[in-house]
This record gives sequence, structure tokens and C-alpha cells, in this order.
Amino acid sequence: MPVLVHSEKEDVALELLSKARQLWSDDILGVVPLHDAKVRAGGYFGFGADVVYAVSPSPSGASQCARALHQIIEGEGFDLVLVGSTRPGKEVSSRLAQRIGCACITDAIDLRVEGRQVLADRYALAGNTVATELVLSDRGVISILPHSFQKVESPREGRVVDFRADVGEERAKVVERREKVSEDVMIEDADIIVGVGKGFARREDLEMAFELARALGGEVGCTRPLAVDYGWLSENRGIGLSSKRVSPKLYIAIGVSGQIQHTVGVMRSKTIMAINRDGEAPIFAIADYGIVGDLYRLVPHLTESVRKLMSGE
Amino acid sequence: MHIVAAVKEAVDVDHIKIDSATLEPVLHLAPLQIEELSRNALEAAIQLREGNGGKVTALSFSRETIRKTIKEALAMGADEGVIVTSEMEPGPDVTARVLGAVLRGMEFDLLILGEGSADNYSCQVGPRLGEMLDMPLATYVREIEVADNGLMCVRDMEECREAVLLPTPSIITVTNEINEPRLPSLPAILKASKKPLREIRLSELGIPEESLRPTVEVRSNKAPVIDRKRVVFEGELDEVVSEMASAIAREVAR
Repeated sequence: MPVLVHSEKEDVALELLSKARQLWSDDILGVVPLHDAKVRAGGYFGFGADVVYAVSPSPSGASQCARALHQIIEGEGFDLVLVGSTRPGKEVSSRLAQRIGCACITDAIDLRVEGRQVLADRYALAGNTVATELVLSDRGVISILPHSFQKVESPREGRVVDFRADVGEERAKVVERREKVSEDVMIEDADIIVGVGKGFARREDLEMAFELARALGGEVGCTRPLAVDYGWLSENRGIGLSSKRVSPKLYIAIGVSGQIQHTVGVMRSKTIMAINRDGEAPIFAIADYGIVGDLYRLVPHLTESVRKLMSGE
Repeated sequence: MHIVAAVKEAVDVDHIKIDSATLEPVLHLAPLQIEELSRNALEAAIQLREGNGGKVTALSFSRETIRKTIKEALAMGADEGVIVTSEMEPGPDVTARVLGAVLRGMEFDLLILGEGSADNYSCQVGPRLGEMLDMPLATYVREIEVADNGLMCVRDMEECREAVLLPTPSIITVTNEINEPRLPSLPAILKASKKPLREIRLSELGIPEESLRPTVEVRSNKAPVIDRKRVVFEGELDEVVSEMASAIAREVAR
């Protein structure tokens, strides 16, 4: 079936193209970037796109983007739309599905095909379960979380299509846009992650976790409240259902109680360790190794021991 | 200002038990409540009314258990409740369709919903209603202020904060950082039963049957298999630290 891919993030669009090319090797694959469609077209062709749509005027906001995508689907005959499941992406997906009058599955983590049927897995019940959902309508929109699929090159001889869209008026006027202060860190690339949670009483105390991470050549990640509510760390260190999902070799959870909203983000870790003062904390149910005790006493000693072991003393 | 807060009844996601044999959730044992993000939406609506006057309506499409659960919303401070009842288990598409049918027959200035719901978190209902009712929409809002010519909202996006001026009537979806939903006082709980509550049967809305047909089928819904060693080191501080340090060194070396 002809599949259209859209994400405001180029990397995510390439992940979706790669997966779509694997599932539908012979079908037409289109992609709708938000910016620089022509300049970046070669990259999209390299990961399996047959057509890159350069939309003009360039849509600003989810309402305009959904309108443009709807017109491309109607005009060019696409059956399935795959969208990167970022916040703007989810809004675009829901709006688009409503315009088409079709199924929408958001925050999918995997995608499968059975005959002509399309199935998607997504977390349900706040991450307690994984639901497999089937698209029943003729068309469908599925938004897929970033980093769900590997990028795989499969070069095509593609073409760029100039598409004039009637994007309408955006009635919610953006008056100011402030970029978030974000540290230059990609925790999803780290082999070892030290995760911190509400067990830390003060922001300064997080330095203990950073020292352990440095001793291991790893990075520090955190539960969502530490970044979003307390602002102790930048949001790109947040791990969980509504933050990042990571899959390091080793995840060390310190002062993390293990609420499901966080732990779904670390389930793909190879090994999980936990330090928590509450022996009943759910984090121990998903840990390979754990210590029940006071992190303020344990962590400095642990860092010291690790340093000695790593330096061969 | 007439503000409608759309609220959802859902199981308490922090108290979901998993059947160890089938890995399926045992939902009938989990308590029902107005889910967390709906309470953020309602709290935002109540605060706007407290600052600017007006009325707050709590609107819900649910099973018949909502007759009792909606009292939580009335106790928090909604002035009236409107409930649509049906025993179906609707997805976000059907929920939006039903809420939209009720809202079309209502005069309101602002509709507030959670960005998603704590249980399913599809984040679809708000945007779908924006399209269906052709109204301005601001999603993922964590601050709302009344301005001269509308509402000034701060949207919390992954990489930026966006200040958006929203005309009314319009729709807002809020994140759970926007407020701390109040716990109703005992007198408020007692008074809740006296507040007006209108119940609409789904059939009264005259929605064509095909519009209520689900577009997505849930094939299965199971907890992932967790296969971890679950070794807890015990003993004196030096002992447990050295055991964990060795385990760390082993994993790092792999």
C-alpha cells in the first residue's frame, strides 16, 4: 500500500522510512518534511523514499500541517500515514485522522503487517501493558515514538514534487517562542546510565550521581519530575513514557522508586541495578541487582570502589 | 465565561494488578476515579472561574458508573455535570464524536481537556474536537492567563515553550504541570450531590450508527514479561558496596 511519512524531525522521518521500506518493499513511499524538502531530498531517497513533497506555503503549526497532509493523501492516493510521535506529531496525527475520518494510533513502538492489515503495538494503562491494535478503517494514521526503528539505507531513484497546499489560517497565534535550555547530551547514546529520582533531597546532591557516571564513562538520566517539575536537570535527560526511552548496557537507578511511567523507558536496558531505601519499591522488581539502603551513604562508597576496580587497583 | 472541562473516568493506573498467568490486567479490581489529567483540566477551569467569574461544566462520556464518579468533579468545584452514558468501551475517535455532539448543542467560551488521559494517553480527543468543531486549539498548555483579546497560553513542547494567543471560543489541552488539583473539603463533598447533573443517553444524541463504530480494534493487551535476576545484596555496607561494584565492573567489561 502507498505509505506517506511525516516528521518535523529528519532523523525520525528516516527511521519511519526505513521501517516502511522493510514492510512494503515494492510500494510507493512518500515523505513530507516541514523544512528544506529540496535540499534534504537526497537523504530521504537514500532511506527508501520515492517521492519527497515540497509543500508551499510551508505549513506553520499542526492545523496547517494536517491540512497539507490531507490534501497530499487525497491528491496522490496514500492509504497509510506514519508520523513521528512528538508532541506536534501527535497533534498532527489526530487532526489528520479526524479530517480523513479514519483510525489513529498514537505513540506506537512497533509496526507489523498481516496481509493487508496493519497492526501497531503501544503502551497502555500508563505503561503497565503493551496493547496490540489493528487498524479497521480503509486508511490509517499511526504516530510512532522516536528511536523505535533502526535507520537502514535502501537507495531509490526518487523525485521531488512541488505541492501547493491550501493550509488555511492559523487562529492560535504564536507570539513568542523560547528555546529550552538544554544541555548538549544524548543519553540515548550512552552505554551506561545512572538514573536519579526523588530519593535525592537537593539538587546539589545529584553531584554524587554525576561522579559515579563519570567514573563509569556514562551519563546521568532522571525521572520526569526531576526535569519537568523541579527543573534540576534539563529535559533531555528525562527518561520514561513521556520522555526518552533508553537501552543502555547498564542502567543504575538511584533513589528511583520505579513508577511504571519511568520504568517503561529503561526496560530495554541489558542490566538494571537499583539503590533505594525502600525495599518494597517497585524498582527492585525490575532490577537484576539491588541494594536496600541510604543512597547518601552508599553512592560515595560505590563510586570509590568502582574507581578502584576500573583502574585495576 | 462558560468553561467546559471534559473529564474521563478511568481506573487508577497506580493500582493495576496483573494476572500472573495470563499477563492481562485485572481491571475490575482497580478503583475508578476521575483520572489525573482530567483533574488538571478541571482545576484549570475552576481557577479561571475563580479569577474571572462564570460557570464550569464537567462533561463526561462514560459507563453508568460515572453517575457516582462525576461527584468528584462536582465536589472539586464544577457548578454542574453533564454525562453521556453507554456501556460501550469507546476509543478516542468515538469519544470525540460523542463529546462533539453534546458540545454542538452547548454555548461555551472554552473547553479544557487533559493533553491525554492517564490510562490510555492517546492525546487524540482534544485535537479531534478542534477539527470537528472547527475551533482554535492550543495543546500541551501549562499556563493560562486571561488577556484583553483572548487567552494567553504557554505551550510546553519538547524543545521550546511557546506563548500562544488564543481567541475564544476555543479548546485547550493541559499538561499535568499546569496545577496541583485540589482535594475537595468534606462540606464540598456533601454539597456535590445537590448540584445539577444532567444525564443524556447516547441514543438521544442522534449520532449515526456508523460514526460510533470503532476504527481500531485492540487485539491484545498484556503486561510485558519481566525476566530479571532480582538479586538484592545483603550485609554490611562495605560488603554490599563491594558486591555491587564487582557486578558493575563485570557488566561494563562485557
